Amino acid sequence: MSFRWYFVGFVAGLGACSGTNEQFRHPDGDEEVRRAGAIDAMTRHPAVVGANKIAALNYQHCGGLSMTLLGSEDPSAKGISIVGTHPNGVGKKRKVKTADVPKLLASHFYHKQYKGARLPASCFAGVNVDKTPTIYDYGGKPAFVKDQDVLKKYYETKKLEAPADEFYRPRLDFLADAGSGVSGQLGIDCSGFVMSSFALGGLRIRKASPAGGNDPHHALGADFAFHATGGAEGKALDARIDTIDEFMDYQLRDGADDRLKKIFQESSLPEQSQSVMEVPLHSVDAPVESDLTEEDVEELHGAEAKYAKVRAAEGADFTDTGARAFMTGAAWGLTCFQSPRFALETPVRTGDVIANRGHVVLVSRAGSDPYRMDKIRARAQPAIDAWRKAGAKDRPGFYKKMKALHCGVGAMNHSTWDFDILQSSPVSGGVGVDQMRIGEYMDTGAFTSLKVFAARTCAYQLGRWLREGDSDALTSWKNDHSGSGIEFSSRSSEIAIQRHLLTPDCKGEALKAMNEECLESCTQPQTR
Amino acid sequence: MRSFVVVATLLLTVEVVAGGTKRPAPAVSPSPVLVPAAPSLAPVDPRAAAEELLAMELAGWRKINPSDRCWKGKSFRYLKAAAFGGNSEESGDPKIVLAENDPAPRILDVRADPEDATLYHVSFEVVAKGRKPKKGRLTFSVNEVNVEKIGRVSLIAQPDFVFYRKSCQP
Repeated sequence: MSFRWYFVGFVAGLGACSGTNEQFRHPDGDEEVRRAGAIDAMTRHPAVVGANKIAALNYQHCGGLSMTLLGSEDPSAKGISIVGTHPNGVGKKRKVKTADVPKLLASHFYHKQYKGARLPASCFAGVNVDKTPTIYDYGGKPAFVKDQDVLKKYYETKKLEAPADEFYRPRLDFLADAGSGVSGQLGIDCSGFVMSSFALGGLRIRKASPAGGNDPHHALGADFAFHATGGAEGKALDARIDTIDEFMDYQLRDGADDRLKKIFQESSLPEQSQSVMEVPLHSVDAPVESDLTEEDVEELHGAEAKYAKVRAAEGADFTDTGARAFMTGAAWGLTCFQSPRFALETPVRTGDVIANRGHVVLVSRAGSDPYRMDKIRARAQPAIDAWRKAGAKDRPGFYKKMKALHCGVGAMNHSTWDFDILQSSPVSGGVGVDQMRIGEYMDTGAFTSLKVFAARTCAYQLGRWLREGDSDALTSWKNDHSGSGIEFSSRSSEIAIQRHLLTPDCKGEALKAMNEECLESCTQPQTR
Repeated sequence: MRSFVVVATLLLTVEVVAGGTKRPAPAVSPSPVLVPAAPSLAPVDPRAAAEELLAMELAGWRKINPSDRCWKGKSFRYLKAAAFGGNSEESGDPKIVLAENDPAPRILDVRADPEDATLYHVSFEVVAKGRKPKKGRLTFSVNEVNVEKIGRVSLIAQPDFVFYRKSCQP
């Protein structure tokens, strides 16, 4: 079984898809939380380091290493034309026409900060995003540069020391027109961004196998590259598919040859299941039809119908595994990820990945109390004090009442939440790479299902608050997982948080980016 | 006034579709639901909220490349009408899309979550001429905070298929 499917499925399925000191500024100015967040960010999760690097390259500006936070009400970028729909029928095709470049540079949240002050284009082989600006490009991926001649020339041009084993490691090029996005348009999409962040951070998506391992000749290991492992089957793929772009095209073709199709289908089978249950969201016993029937296909139309028919013909979840891969984690082969379990682990941490069916983001900074339970506690505390003063009777009954009052999903205030995300997304008119406070992103109506996790965290914390000062009750309660929600993971049918294991078998040689040497002039810290 | 028209239109659709079939016993009290931690907010009628959500489904808010033509200018009592998720490209990739033969939803049941008074589970079915009804479900929250920005009601668990009026295509 190869990883290649998981990565490519992820990339294709998602297809689509946000510090400075300001980054650490909590909207409430809560010093303790602010400090905790800063400390957390200073640990510099490798994937966040990778993501910052991508952002800086994407904008050809050191500011990308510590991006200011985009707000939900900041003016949208202008000058981006919708020129069609991606062949898979999902994403919009966006293009900045030459005549509209000045308009874009004057309105795009980040480009307008960076224009005219870029890192020298000469360091980027002449590419200048002031002339060809990067935006959100659905289907856009980094180019995968593996040609030894090209890489050797790159090393010579940059005056880099040649590798001792004379093998030039593949690199990702974020300022090349690659993937299945709009031809001639620079930019990457959400899955391209998140996956590349982990690759640049030297973090595997799937645990290293003895066969694939850390062979530097396959610098991307078994994780990122579809070139890495797999014996004869792998070679067959190598012969056919050299780039992410080609692979994307391949996936969308109707007439994929049966042999290759078989490889993908086999490799897409779930390898293992996670024993921790996901949070149930539907409690209504309504029968739900989820399979694509002939009747359904007949009802479809246009690109959706064509795409759905292709998918139906493929048999397995062939092209829409993407975000779902992160939603289900290990069950879909992302064996280096696990959803944090309620109460046992910090619910959201720097470096976590949040994914729903159509989008995936990286948590770039998280405070120690990401859902701001301290605020809920402050509201609940007077009643708790009164209850204790009255003898702390009927704890179950009081818990139930307090939970109903304070821990409902609808009572979760995402505006106060203390974590930020880095993503490539179509927000704010299609900006692409951006960083947002999670609450600002949720104000756009996105990721609403996260509130279920916050509510569950609240329910757990409430149980703890009611046992404070009673060590026996606290101990026995902590050891009794039943009913506490402790056994649930931060994963539901709608959204999932996935945390990289950071174990040795989930680390590998960090992939480099083309022209990342240009960032050496930046003064901000860019590596751990 | 406009919100009334939207809701009334949907109710009419629901009733016409339901014509001749036995409506299941309501699982929700006919009286408005009081949301405990938000005394200053007007109570939400969960069935009416569910109807607004289904109206937005019909308007294609979760459709890929949605057009706001079918909800622009209309106001809702509970929902903030916009493309779901801020952008359809981020809302997922439903496998099944029903757009032919004027699909119309019919609420089967609206049930409060037994553990969470701010959550409601809705089961419904969509009928379209010439095909058997398709059952679906969704879950929504009654928001007690950030109401100005996100509306009084949020879709928490989406139906696993999409249906919309064909005329609501871009």
